[in-house]
Amino acid sequence: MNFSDIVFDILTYGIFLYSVVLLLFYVFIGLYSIGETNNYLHRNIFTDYRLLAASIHIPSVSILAPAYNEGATIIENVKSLLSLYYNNLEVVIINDGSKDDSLQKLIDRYELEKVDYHVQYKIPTKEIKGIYKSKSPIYRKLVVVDKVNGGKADALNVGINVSSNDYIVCIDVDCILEQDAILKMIKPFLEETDARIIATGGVIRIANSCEIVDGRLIKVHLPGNYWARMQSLEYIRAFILGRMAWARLNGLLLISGAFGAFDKRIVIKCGGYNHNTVGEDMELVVRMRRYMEEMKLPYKVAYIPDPLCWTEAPESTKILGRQRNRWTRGTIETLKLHKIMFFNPKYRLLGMLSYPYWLFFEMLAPLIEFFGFIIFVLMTFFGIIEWSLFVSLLAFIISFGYMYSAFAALMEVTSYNMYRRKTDMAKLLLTALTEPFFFHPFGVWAAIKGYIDLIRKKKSWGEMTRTGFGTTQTKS
Amino acid sequence: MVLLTFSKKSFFHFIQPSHLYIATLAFLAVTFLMVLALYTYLYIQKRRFFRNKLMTQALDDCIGALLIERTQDDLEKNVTPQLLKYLKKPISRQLAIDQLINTRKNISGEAINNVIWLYNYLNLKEDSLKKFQSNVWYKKARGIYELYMMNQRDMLLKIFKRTNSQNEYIRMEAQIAIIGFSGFEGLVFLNTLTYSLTEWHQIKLLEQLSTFNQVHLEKLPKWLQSSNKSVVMFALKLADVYQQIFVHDEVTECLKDENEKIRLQAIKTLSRIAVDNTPQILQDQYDNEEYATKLEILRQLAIIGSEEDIPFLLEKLNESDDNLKLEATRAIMKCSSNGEEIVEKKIENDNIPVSILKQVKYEQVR
Repeated sequence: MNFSDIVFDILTYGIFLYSVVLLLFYVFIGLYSIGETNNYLHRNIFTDYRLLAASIHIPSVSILAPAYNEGATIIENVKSLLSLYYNNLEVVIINDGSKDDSLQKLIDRYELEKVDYHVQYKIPTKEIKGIYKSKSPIYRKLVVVDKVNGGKADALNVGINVSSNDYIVCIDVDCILEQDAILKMIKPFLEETDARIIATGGVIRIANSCEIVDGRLIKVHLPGNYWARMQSLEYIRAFILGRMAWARLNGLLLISGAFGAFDKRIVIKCGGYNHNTVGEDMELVVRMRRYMEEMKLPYKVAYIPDPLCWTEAPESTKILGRQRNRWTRGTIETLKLHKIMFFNPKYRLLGMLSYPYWLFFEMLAPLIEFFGFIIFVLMTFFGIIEWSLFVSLLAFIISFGYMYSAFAALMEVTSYNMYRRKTDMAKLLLTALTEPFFFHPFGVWAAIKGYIDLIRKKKSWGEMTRTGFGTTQTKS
Repeated sequence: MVLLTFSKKSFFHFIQPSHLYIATLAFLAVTFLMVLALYTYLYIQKRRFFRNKLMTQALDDCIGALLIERTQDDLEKNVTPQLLKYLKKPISRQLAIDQLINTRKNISGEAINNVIWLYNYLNLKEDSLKKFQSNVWYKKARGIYELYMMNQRDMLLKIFKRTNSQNEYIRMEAQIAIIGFSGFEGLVFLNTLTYSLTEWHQIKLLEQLSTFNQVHLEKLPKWLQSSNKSVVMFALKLADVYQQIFVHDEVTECLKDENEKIRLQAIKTLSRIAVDNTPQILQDQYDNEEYATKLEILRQLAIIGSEEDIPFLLEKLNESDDNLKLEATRAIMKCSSNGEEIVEKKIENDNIPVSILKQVKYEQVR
């Protein structure tokens, strides 16, 4: 056996082993998530949230919502947040140096006045220009912070410094939250026993094409746009299957920046959000977990499968590509920052399973796929490809993907069944059939661009133009 | 998914195209079965929806009429044969129970008895009992919930036995049921509770208790000395909410507890049941405490403190943490009529941010 044979064998069996382990992980995640979702549904089926939301005994919570150039929708967004059903709530809007009229609109609509407010910079941030509160007692929950532009992580850190409550819920200001979202997110903290709950993640759903009136979700529709519809399926798979299974294992590394609740004391001890990464949401969770592991404190990161937060998904390949590019860079940066945990038994499940999974199957997957594609092109060019094996492997992998998507759709229908129109589920399943040919290769390409941008040391979030729920807004 | 490309002959010994095609067929077959299951489920749900709609309407009509009826005969005549027909299916019976519970939550007075009468008349208790007797935890918990919501007092003893169940959800529903049946007397389960009461659970119990008239909680001293820390915590909250001044000494003892959350709650409770020496007790505690509890002491001194506490509070303006300074300033401004002057003088002499005073002054104006 010569050198090239050895290299070829390593590649062949290596990639085969990689694929087998990945598929086994998918099967495990799918099956393991069932128990967690069912358990959650059984535990909460007759909980009367209405009664408890009005209780004076529930802990106080601060919602932190950074806003940058959200002038088009800021009034409706804040109105939606102020109408949330929770007794002890503070809504902190952080205007991150917007160039538009967001702040003036807020001042006018909510009768805001600049107040004397002492901020202790427990987490270092950029300068706060002013803190505003309403003259009207109706809006006493509202605090608006005007600050020098510093990015989302910096804005959230300002929110942490300014907030007055022990639990913080970090959200994207343009998200639509369900009325009982805060109570459901805080419940795991109140149910803690021996292990401290350090964070709770919530499911994000796609709001494109949904009916939204006065900042409230009135009716759910499957997105009409292909890319948004594909993301609906992707989010169902990721949230109902993936994150529920990881939550059950207590190995969750990511809580979406769009909606997550945190124990503020632990966040401050960990130094808050890292503004040197574009994956600040994942990085914070990893750092908090790492801190708890290093302190040898029992802890848990919880997850709520209820569809509580609705967000607008990118509808164009341009914007979607930027988002996926940023996600890739965020993942790489986070894993690089915490590389000490890789297969490190000191970090138990976090080091031995969660981190390696993310490294091999989230971070490296697009790279390996892209590499596989290049090899395929070269082998085709040189006429050395075994077509019968190639076609059978392709059929195998695509059919597995279909099976996984069908399983996710079945789980959705039997748990929350948000898409109730006759044709919605058929459309979703038909969309799934196209995934291996359009959406998935696009995602891989966007991730590869993320790698390239990272090598070029690009740090920006990228323009995220949003259509808005009936209006137009721009975010960067 | 990874797209694999191979040409090695040796690899064929292990994986042949025929194997992969068989697996592909298997995946597609499973996919087909899942889609079939999905649509079957949707079809069943749809049929159930329409059937339930009819049953719900019939039950709604019946409940509507029952709410104004007085005599047994009047009550019975509202239960139509159509409704009884619908209720032959277990799923409809469950829906009926849920609907009756919802109705019960939204009404008060004599009408509740008519709803409970209907529950018994339709023999729905049998369904709840089956759940209560089940070995599946969530069925048992739901059975307990239904029985107490429908005020089945004859089940009190059997449910009481579950108040220390190994399963937290059965335990929680049983405890809430006992409170629902017996009010404050139901708290007797705290005497023997060996498992933990979560904070969520404590909130639910406090909400359940809020519907009853307050009584003297004579067992409080015992609960405050319980070896079960969650019972101590709950007892502290009871003493706080119902201002049980007679346990002041026991609550003070809780300040020695190693659990920070208990000490924090003890500080809050002491403030609610304060006597003359309570501010001094809190002051004495201050130096032994951690950050969050120090903050709480200053917050409570703002409520129960007086001019006598000013020297102590002024010292705290020299703390390194600004939040402690802020709370101390708030307390000084509340405890003394010339608090503002006192703080201003201190600011002039020491390195204290003037913005703290400005913030507190703004809060006072508001």
